[in-house]
Amino acid sequence: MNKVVLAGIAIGALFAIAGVLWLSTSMETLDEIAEQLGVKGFNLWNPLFPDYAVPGHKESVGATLALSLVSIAIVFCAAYLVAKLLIVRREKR
Amino acid sequence: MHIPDGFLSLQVCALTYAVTAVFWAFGFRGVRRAFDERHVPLLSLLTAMFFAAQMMNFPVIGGTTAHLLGGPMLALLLGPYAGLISMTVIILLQALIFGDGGLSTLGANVLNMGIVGVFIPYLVFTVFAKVTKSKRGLYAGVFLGSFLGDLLAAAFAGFELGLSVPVFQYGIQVAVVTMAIHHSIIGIAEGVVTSTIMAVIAKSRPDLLELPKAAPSLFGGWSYSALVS
Repeated sequence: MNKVVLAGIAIGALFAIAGVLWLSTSMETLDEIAEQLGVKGFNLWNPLFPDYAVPGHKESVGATLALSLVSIAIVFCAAYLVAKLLIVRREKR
Repeated sequence: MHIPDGFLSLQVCALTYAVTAVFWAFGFRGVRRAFDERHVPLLSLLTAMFFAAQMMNFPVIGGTTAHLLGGPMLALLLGPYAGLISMTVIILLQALIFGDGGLSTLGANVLNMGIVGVFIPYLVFTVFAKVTKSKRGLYAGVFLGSFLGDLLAAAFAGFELGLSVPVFQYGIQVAVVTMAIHHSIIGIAEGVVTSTIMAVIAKSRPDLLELPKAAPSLFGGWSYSALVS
Protein backbone atom coordinates (compact mmCIF):
# COMPACT_ATOMS: atom_id res chain seq x y z
CA MET A 1 0.00 0.00 0.00
CA ASN A 2 2.94 2.34 0.70
CA LYS A 3 3.98 2.25 -2.97
CA VAL A 4 0.41 2.99 -4.03
CA VAL A 5 0.28 5.95 -1.62
CA LEU A 6 3.58 7.37 -2.91
CA ALA A 7 2.51 6.90 -6.53
CA GLY A 8 -0.83 8.55 -5.78
CA ILE A 9 0.83 11.55 -4.13
CA ALA A 10 3.20 11.90 -7.12
CA ILE A 11 0.25 11.82 -9.54
CA GLY A 12 -1.56 14.31 -7.34
CA ALA A 13 1.45 16.65 -7.48
CA LEU A 14 1.40 16.48 -11.28
CA PHE A 15 -2.33 17.34 -11.27
CA ALA A 16 -1.67 20.27 -8.96
CA ILE A 17 1.22 21.69 -10.99
CA ALA A 18 -0.65 21.33 -14.28
CA GLY A 19 -3.72 22.85 -12.67
CA VAL A 20 -2.03 25.85 -11.09
CA LEU A 21 0.46 26.70 -13.86
CA TRP A 22 -1.37 25.86 -17.08
CA LEU A 23 -5.00 24.83 -16.73
CA SER A 24 -6.57 27.49 -14.53
CA THR A 25 -6.00 30.62 -16.57
CA SER A 26 -9.68 31.53 -17.11
CA MET A 27 -12.36 32.37 -14.55
CA GLU A 28 -14.84 29.81 -13.25
CA THR A 29 -18.51 30.22 -14.22
CA LEU A 30 -19.43 31.42 -10.74
CA ASP A 31 -16.73 34.12 -10.76
CA GLU A 32 -17.83 35.23 -14.24
CA ILE A 33 -21.47 35.63 -13.10
CA ALA A 34 -20.31 37.50 -9.99
CA GLU A 35 -18.20 39.86 -12.07
CA GLN A 36 -21.15 40.59 -14.37
CA LEU A 37 -23.22 41.51 -11.31
CA GLY A 38 -20.43 43.43 -9.63
CA VAL A 39 -20.56 41.10 -6.61
CA LYS A 40 -17.25 40.85 -4.79
CA GLY A 41 -16.38 37.92 -2.55
CA PHE A 42 -14.03 38.12 0.38
CA ASN A 43 -12.29 35.85 2.86
CA LEU A 44 -13.31 35.80 6.53
CA TRP A 45 -9.96 34.12 7.08
CA ASN A 46 -6.62 35.23 5.60
CA PRO A 47 -5.41 32.25 3.58
CA LEU A 48 -1.68 31.52 3.62
CA PHE A 49 -1.47 30.98 -0.13
CA PRO A 50 -4.24 32.85 -1.95
CA ASP A 51 -4.95 31.67 -5.52
CA TYR A 52 -2.93 28.50 -4.99
CA ALA A 53 0.39 30.36 -5.20
CA VAL A 54 3.28 31.31 -2.96
CA PRO A 55 2.99 35.10 -2.57
CA GLY A 56 5.58 36.77 -4.82
CA HIS A 57 6.35 33.52 -6.68
CA LYS A 58 3.20 32.98 -8.70
CA GLU A 59 5.00 31.97 -11.90
CA SER A 60 7.74 29.89 -10.23
CA VAL A 61 7.54 26.19 -11.10
CA GLY A 62 9.73 25.29 -8.10
CA ALA A 63 7.58 27.19 -5.61
CA THR A 64 4.41 25.72 -7.15
CA LEU A 65 5.86 22.20 -6.97
CA ALA A 66 6.85 22.67 -3.32
CA LEU A 67 3.46 24.15 -2.43
CA SER A 68 1.64 21.36 -4.27
CA LEU A 69 3.58 18.62 -2.49
CA VAL A 70 3.17 20.24 0.93
CA SER A 71 -0.55 20.90 0.49
CA ILE A 72 -1.20 17.36 -0.80
CA ALA A 73 0.72 15.97 2.18
CA ILE A 74 -1.33 18.17 4.55
CA VAL A 75 -4.62 16.97 3.01
CA PHE A 76 -3.43 13.34 3.16
CA CYS A 77 -2.48 13.69 6.84
CA ALA A 78 -5.74 15.49 7.72
CA ALA A 79 -7.86 12.77 6.08
CA TYR A 80 -5.71 10.05 7.72
CA LEU A 81 -6.16 11.67 11.12
CA VAL A 82 -9.94 12.01 10.74
CA ALA A 83 -10.33 8.39 9.60
CA LYS A 84 -8.06 7.12 12.39
CA LEU A 85 -9.91 9.13 15.03
CA LEU A 86 -13.23 7.70 13.87
CA ILE A 87 -11.94 4.13 14.03
CA VAL A 88 -10.29 4.64 17.43
CA ARG A 89 -13.55 6.04 18.78
CA ARG A 90 -15.40 2.95 17.56
CA GLU A 91 -12.87 0.59 19.14
CA LYS A 92 -13.09 2.37 22.49
CA ARG A 93 -16.87 1.90 22.63
CA MET B 1 -18.03 25.79 -7.90
CA HIS B 2 -16.57 26.96 -4.58
CA ILE B 3 -18.76 29.78 -3.27
CA PRO B 4 -16.69 32.45 -1.48
CA ASP B 5 -17.72 34.46 1.59
CA GLY B 6 -20.07 37.30 0.68
CA PHE B 7 -21.94 35.56 -2.16
CA LEU B 8 -24.75 34.04 -0.07
CA SER B 9 -27.22 35.67 2.28
CA LEU B 10 -26.96 34.95 6.01
CA GLN B 11 -30.18 32.90 5.93
CA VAL B 12 -28.92 30.68 3.10
CA CYS B 13 -25.58 30.20 4.91
CA ALA B 14 -27.41 29.19 8.11
CA LEU B 15 -29.84 26.86 6.32
CA THR B 16 -27.12 25.08 4.34
CA TYR B 17 -24.98 24.69 7.48
CA ALA B 18 -27.96 23.13 9.28
CA VAL B 19 -28.67 20.63 6.47
CA THR B 20 -24.99 19.75 6.14
CA ALA B 21 -24.62 19.30 9.91
CA VAL B 22 -27.29 16.58 9.84
CA PHE B 23 -25.38 14.76 7.08
CA TRP B 24 -22.10 15.20 8.98
CA ALA B 25 -23.66 13.53 12.03
CA PHE B 26 -24.86 10.56 9.95
CA GLY B 27 -21.61 10.55 7.95
CA PHE B 28 -19.33 10.30 10.99
CA ARG B 29 -21.49 7.55 12.44
CA GLY B 30 -21.64 5.68 9.12
CA VAL B 31 -17.87 5.80 8.61
CA ARG B 32 -17.22 4.77 12.23
CA ARG B 33 -19.45 1.71 11.78
CA ALA B 34 -18.26 0.57 8.34
CA PHE B 35 -14.55 1.40 8.36
CA ASP B 36 -11.56 -0.51 9.61
CA GLU B 37 -7.79 -0.10 9.24
CA ARG B 38 -7.90 -1.16 5.56
CA HIS B 39 -9.89 1.92 4.60
CA VAL B 40 -7.65 4.55 6.19
CA PRO B 41 -4.79 4.77 3.62
CA LEU B 42 -7.20 4.55 0.70
CA LEU B 43 -9.48 7.28 2.06
CA SER B 44 -6.46 9.50 2.74
CA LEU B 45 -4.94 8.88 -0.68
CA LEU B 46 -8.17 9.48 -2.59
CA THR B 47 -8.79 12.65 -0.58
CA ALA B 48 -5.30 13.96 -1.44
CA MET B 49 -5.63 12.99 -5.12
CA PHE B 50 -9.04 14.58 -5.64
CA PHE B 51 -7.87 17.68 -3.77
CA ALA B 52 -5.11 17.93 -6.40
CA ALA B 53 -7.48 17.06 -9.25
CA GLN B 54 -9.78 19.92 -8.23
CA MET B 55 -6.91 22.34 -8.93
CA MET B 56 -7.21 21.53 -12.64
CA ASN B 57 -9.79 23.73 -14.32
CA PHE B 58 -10.93 22.84 -17.83
CA PRO B 59 -12.58 25.13 -20.38
CA VAL B 60 -16.37 24.75 -20.53
CA ILE B 61 -18.64 27.35 -22.15
CA GLY B 62 -18.19 31.04 -22.91
CA GLY B 63 -14.51 31.19 -21.96
CA THR B 64 -15.14 30.02 -18.42
CA THR B 65 -13.68 26.96 -16.68
CA ALA B 66 -14.79 24.27 -14.24
CA HIS B 67 -13.14 21.42 -12.33
CA LEU B 68 -13.87 17.77 -11.67
CA LEU B 69 -15.37 17.01 -8.24
CA GLY B 70 -14.09 13.49 -7.57
CA GLY B 71 -17.16 12.78 -5.42
CA PRO B 72 -18.50 9.96 -7.62
CA MET B 73 -15.28 7.94 -7.44
CA LEU B 74 -15.06 8.44 -3.67
CA ALA B 75 -18.68 7.31 -3.28
CA LEU B 76 -18.28 4.21 -5.45
CA LEU B 77 -15.09 3.04 -3.75
CA LEU B 78 -15.79 3.90 -0.12
CA GLY B 79 -19.48 4.80 0.10
CA PRO B 80 -21.20 8.20 0.19
CA TYR B 81 -20.65 8.83 3.91
CA ALA B 82 -16.90 8.41 3.41
CA GLY B 83 -17.12 10.58 0.30
CA LEU B 84 -18.79 13.29 2.39
CA ILE B 85 -16.05 13.17 5.03
CA SER B 86 -13.36 13.22 2.35
CA MET B 87 -14.93 16.15 0.48
CA THR B 88 -15.36 18.03 3.77
CA VAL B 89 -11.62 17.73 4.46
CA ILE B 90 -10.85 18.91 0.91
CA ILE B 91 -13.25 21.88 0.95
CA LEU B 92 -12.24 23.00 4.46
CA LEU B 93 -8.50 22.94 3.67
CA GLN B 94 -9.06 24.66 0.31
CA ALA B 95 -10.78 27.48 2.19
CA LEU B 96 -8.21 27.70 5.00
CA ILE B 97 -4.99 27.33 2.98
CA PHE B 98 -5.88 28.81 -0.40
CA GLY B 99 -8.97 30.95 0.20
CA ASP B 100 -10.87 28.88 -2.39
CA GLY B 101 -14.42 28.95 -1.05
CA GLY B 102 -15.49 30.70 2.13
CA LEU B 103 -15.95 29.70 5.75
CA SER B 104 -19.45 31.20 6.04
CA THR B 105 -20.32 29.26 2.86
CA LEU B 106 -18.61 26.01 3.94
CA GLY B 107 -22.00 24.44 4.68
CA ALA B 108 -23.25 25.33 1.19
CA ASN B 109 -20.08 24.13 -0.54
CA VAL B 110 -20.14 20.82 1.33
CA LEU B 111 -23.86 20.46 0.61
CA ASN B 112 -23.26 20.94 -3.13
CA MET B 113 -20.02 19.05 -3.70
CA GLY B 114 -19.88 16.70 -0.71
CA ILE B 115 -23.52 15.67 -0.40
CA VAL B 116 -25.28 16.18 -3.76
CA GLY B 117 -22.08 15.43 -5.73
CA VAL B 118 -21.50 12.23 -3.77
CA PHE B 119 -24.89 10.75 -2.83
CA ILE B 120 -26.53 11.21 -6.27
CA PRO B 121 -23.86 9.18 -8.15
CA TYR B 122 -24.04 6.43 -5.51
CA LEU B 123 -27.85 6.35 -5.62
CA VAL B 124 -27.95 6.20 -9.44
CA PHE B 125 -25.33 3.44 -9.53
CA THR B 126 -27.22 1.46 -6.87
CA VAL B 127 -30.42 1.67 -8.92
CA PHE B 128 -28.56 0.55 -12.07
CA ALA B 129 -26.92 -2.29 -10.12
CA LYS B 130 -30.35 -3.54 -9.08
CA VAL B 131 -31.89 -3.20 -12.54
CA THR B 132 -29.14 -4.24 -14.96
CA LYS B 133 -27.21 -7.49 -15.14
CA SER B 134 -24.65 -6.45 -17.76
CA LYS B 135 -21.25 -4.83 -17.27
CA ARG B 136 -22.18 -2.23 -19.88
CA GLY B 137 -25.28 -1.36 -17.88
CA LEU B 138 -23.20 -0.92 -14.72
CA TYR B 139 -20.80 1.45 -16.46
CA ALA B 140 -23.79 3.35 -17.85
CA GLY B 141 -24.84 3.77 -14.22
CA VAL B 142 -21.38 5.04 -13.25
CA PHE B 143 -21.38 7.53 -16.12
CA LEU B 144 -24.95 8.77 -15.60
CA GLY B 145 -24.53 9.00 -11.83
CA SER B 146 -21.31 11.01 -12.16
CA PHE B 147 -22.86 13.30 -14.76
CA LEU B 148 -26.00 13.91 -12.71
CA GLY B 149 -23.96 14.39 -9.53
CA ASP B 150 -21.98 17.25 -11.10
CA LEU B 151 -25.01 18.74 -12.84
CA LEU B 152 -27.15 18.76 -9.69
CA ALA B 153 -24.28 20.02 -7.51
CA ALA B 154 -23.97 23.01 -9.84
CA ALA B 155 -27.75 23.47 -9.93
CA PHE B 156 -27.82 23.47 -6.10
CA ALA B 157 -25.10 26.13 -6.06
CA GLY B 158 -27.20 28.16 -8.51
CA PHE B 159 -30.28 27.68 -6.33
CA GLU B 160 -28.46 28.93 -3.24
CA LEU B 161 -27.14 31.94 -5.16
CA GLY B 162 -30.61 32.60 -6.59
CA LEU B 163 -32.10 32.50 -3.10
CA SER B 164 -29.53 35.07 -1.95
CA VAL B 165 -31.24 38.05 -3.59
CA PRO B 166 -30.35 40.93 -3.36
CA VAL B 167 -26.71 39.80 -3.15
CA PHE B 168 -27.17 37.89 -6.42
CA GLN B 169 -29.73 39.75 -8.51
CA TYR B 170 -30.18 37.14 -11.25
CA GLY B 171 -32.64 35.10 -9.21
CA ILE B 172 -33.07 31.35 -9.00
CA GLN B 173 -34.05 30.58 -12.60
CA VAL B 174 -31.10 32.27 -14.29
CA ALA B 175 -28.54 31.19 -11.69
CA VAL B 176 -29.64 27.52 -11.73
CA VAL B 177 -29.77 27.28 -15.53
CA THR B 178 -26.42 29.07 -16.04
CA MET B 179 -24.58 26.96 -13.48
CA ALA B 180 -26.16 23.69 -14.68
CA ILE B 181 -25.50 24.30 -18.38
CA HIS B 182 -21.88 25.30 -17.82
CA HIS B 183 -21.18 22.35 -15.51
CA SER B 184 -22.92 19.80 -17.75
CA ILE B 185 -19.72 19.77 -19.83
CA ILE B 186 -17.57 18.93 -16.83
CA GLY B 187 -20.24 16.40 -15.80
CA ILE B 188 -19.57 14.48 -19.02
CA ALA B 189 -15.83 14.59 -18.25
CA GLU B 190 -16.49 13.41 -14.69
CA GLY B 191 -18.54 10.51 -16.09
CA VAL B 192 -15.79 9.47 -18.50
CA VAL B 193 -13.02 9.81 -15.88
CA THR B 194 -14.96 7.93 -13.18
CA SER B 195 -15.92 5.10 -15.57
CA THR B 196 -12.32 4.82 -16.77
CA ILE B 197 -10.86 4.73 -13.25
CA MET B 198 -13.52 2.19 -12.24
CA ALA B 199 -12.60 -0.03 -15.21
CA VAL B 200 -8.86 0.22 -14.43
CA ILE B 201 -9.44 -0.65 -10.76
CA ALA B 202 -11.77 -3.52 -11.69
CA LYS B 203 -8.99 -4.96 -13.83
CA SER B 204 -5.92 -4.25 -11.68
CA ARG B 205 -7.17 -4.12 -8.05
CA PRO B 206 -10.70 -5.60 -7.96
CA ASP B 207 -10.30 -6.12 -4.19
CA LEU B 208 -10.63 -2.34 -3.72
CA LEU B 209 -14.17 -2.51 -5.11
CA GLU B 210 -15.08 -5.15 -2.53
CA LEU B 211 -14.31 -3.01 0.53
CA PRO B 212 -17.33 -2.43 2.79
CA LYS B 213 -18.95 0.91 1.95
CA ALA B 214 -20.05 3.58 4.41
CA ALA B 215 -23.55 4.09 3.03
CA PRO B 216 -27.08 4.55 4.38
CA SER B 217 -28.78 1.17 4.88
CA LEU B 218 -31.65 2.55 2.78
CA PHE B 219 -29.40 2.38 -0.31
CA GLY B 220 -28.41 -1.23 0.33
CA GLY B 221 -24.98 -2.62 -0.44
CA TRP B 222 -23.49 -4.16 -3.55
CA SER B 223 -20.51 -6.28 -4.43
CA TYR B 224 -18.82 -5.55 -7.75
CA SER B 225 -17.70 -9.15 -8.26
CA ALA B 226 -21.23 -10.40 -7.65
CA LEU B 227 -22.59 -7.81 -10.08
CA VAL B 228 -20.26 -8.73 -12.96
CA SER B 229 -20.19 -12.50 -12.40
